[in-house]
Amino acid sequence: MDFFSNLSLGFSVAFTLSNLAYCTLGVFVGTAIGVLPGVGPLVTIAVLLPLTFGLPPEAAMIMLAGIYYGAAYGGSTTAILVNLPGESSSAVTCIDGYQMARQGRAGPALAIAAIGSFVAGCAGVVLLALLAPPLTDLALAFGAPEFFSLIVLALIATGVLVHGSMLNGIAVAFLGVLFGLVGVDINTGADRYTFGVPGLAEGVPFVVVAMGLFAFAEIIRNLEHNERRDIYSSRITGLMPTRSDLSRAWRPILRGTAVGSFFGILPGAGQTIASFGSYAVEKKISKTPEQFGKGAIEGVAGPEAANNASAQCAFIPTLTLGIPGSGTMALMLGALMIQGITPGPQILTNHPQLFWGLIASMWIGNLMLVILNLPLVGLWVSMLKIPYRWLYPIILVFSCIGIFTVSHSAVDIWLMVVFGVLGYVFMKLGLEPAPFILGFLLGPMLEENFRRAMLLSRGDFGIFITHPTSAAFLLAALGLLALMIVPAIRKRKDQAALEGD
Amino acid sequence: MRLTKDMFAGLMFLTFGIGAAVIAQNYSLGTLARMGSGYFPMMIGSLIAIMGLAILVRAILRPGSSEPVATIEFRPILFIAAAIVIFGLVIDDFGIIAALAALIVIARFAGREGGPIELAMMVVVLIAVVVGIFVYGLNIHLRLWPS
Repeated sequence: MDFFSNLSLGFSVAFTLSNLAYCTLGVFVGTAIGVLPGVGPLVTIAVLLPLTFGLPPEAAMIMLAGIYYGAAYGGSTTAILVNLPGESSSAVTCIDGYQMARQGRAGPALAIAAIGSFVAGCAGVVLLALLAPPLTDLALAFGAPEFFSLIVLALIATGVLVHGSMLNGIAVAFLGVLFGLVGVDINTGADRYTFGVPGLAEGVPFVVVAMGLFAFAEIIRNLEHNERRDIYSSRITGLMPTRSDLSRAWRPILRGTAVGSFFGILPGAGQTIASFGSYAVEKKISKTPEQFGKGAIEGVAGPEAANNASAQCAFIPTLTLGIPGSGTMALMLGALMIQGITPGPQILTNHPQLFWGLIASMWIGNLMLVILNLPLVGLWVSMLKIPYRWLYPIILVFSCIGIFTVSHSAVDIWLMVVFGVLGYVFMKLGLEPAPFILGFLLGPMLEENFRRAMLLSRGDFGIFITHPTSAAFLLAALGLLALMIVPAIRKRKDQAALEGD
Repeated sequence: MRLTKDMFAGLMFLTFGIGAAVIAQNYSLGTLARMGSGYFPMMIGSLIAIMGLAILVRAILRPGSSEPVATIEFRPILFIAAAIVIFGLVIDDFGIIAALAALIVIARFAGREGGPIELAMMVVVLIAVVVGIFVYGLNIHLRLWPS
């Protein structure tokens, strides 16, 4: 069986001592940072990217993936204990999780969240392992028109599904495409938009954009708001959920896993929509909907499973097609490219040890989440007491040194300020930055495939419609746009995509 | 007229789009079948400009659809930007220890809390951590002191 030989290759990579250590470190750091409000997973990954450049690709991806789902889980710990969502995707866990904590049932809430995440994580890993080879085969048959239409779909989906007006979201994504074009045009060798700045010929470095847009802008936002956080520490008595908790929770966990997997594979949807979607489903089919909001364990189990399932499944399009569905996935892909690996369907065939090692490490990472989190709850709660005035200098220092170690050029550090200011302007204008980084990463691919398609068809746009797969992608993009024009659906989306990830 | 977020957003996209399209005129355009380096940037620029215009028009016709821009506090953004710019100025000639110290001290003024002793401790601890991780841990060649 291919499935098992692949997985055993994966586990042989993941179980090396050093990769286990990077996985643990990633999960630990990710959880710790996920707990801290005001430091999201995007910022964490952006700031820690340079640390992974010296590592082999497998270790780098394993560690970054650990940070990613660690952060997803860390956010729910604080949601339950102190009613503070560390990430936007755990905002929904606050509703019933915090109520459970107030009733003295913080332990079972945390345990159910961990179990739900673990089950969803396992399902996500299996889904990834099962879907990756066929999807890769499909994508290997793609030509330029198919890739062009797929990228258009990804950009539109991300733009449409983030918080705010869809026109704004799409415009941000295409602005990212524009910035991705800066540098030498590989086809003609001509400089574009470099304005004589040395170093811009190779384009704006990915880390510079990521750090400016996310780390810089987020620091300013937090300093402007300067809110004081009250920390309530509830005593945690008894972690184990009761038999009735488990019997009430297992079905929501499975349903949440299904909802989360679906939204995870879709480009642009992300964890926030998945967890809100699962909550809505649970409330709708519950026999006792009036209990929701008053500490219903189903309201914790479902969304937490959905959150984690979508976090895992977001890797499916990213790794098999080379098309990231969210800002975080764009960062993961950027990390791969810095490692010298071209994203796309050939990853699976050219770097099987990377691909399957990453998948196996995800399963190990999910297990570690359960093992690490429950005993360390006290540590996470005490981390909440760290004042922000200690945190932001740390983020700044790691960003600046990180960029300098990559390029050894002060110009890149100043460029980070430029993108930081751009990120700040976005924030002030209510624009989400995530589509920008996606557009930035996909921009050169979009142009390359557009050019090739036009060369093939001798300048006839019809090629995007006569190729059936390409037509299907474009139709899906159109469908998304049409859906969002329906006011009722748009309203629901805005409730769900509170912040987007 | 109420100035809303969307009005500025529309203007920003319009400016970027037109700017990009105009600059692209300096690059060879080519034909659709054989594109030069300017063709795609011009397309994208025009597309962004059109979307910007649409956002702007919508914002003017329906001012209620968007909120007014919140007040801007200049203190955080100015000091954080200054701290990073000066870090870039210092690091090449004076090494990372001086650059980091400048970064942390200037960034401190972006916020309003914390005493001098705490600041001094942050400087010492963060420099030690960075040197430990990057120079000794990852073996990256960085100059520590002024040459």
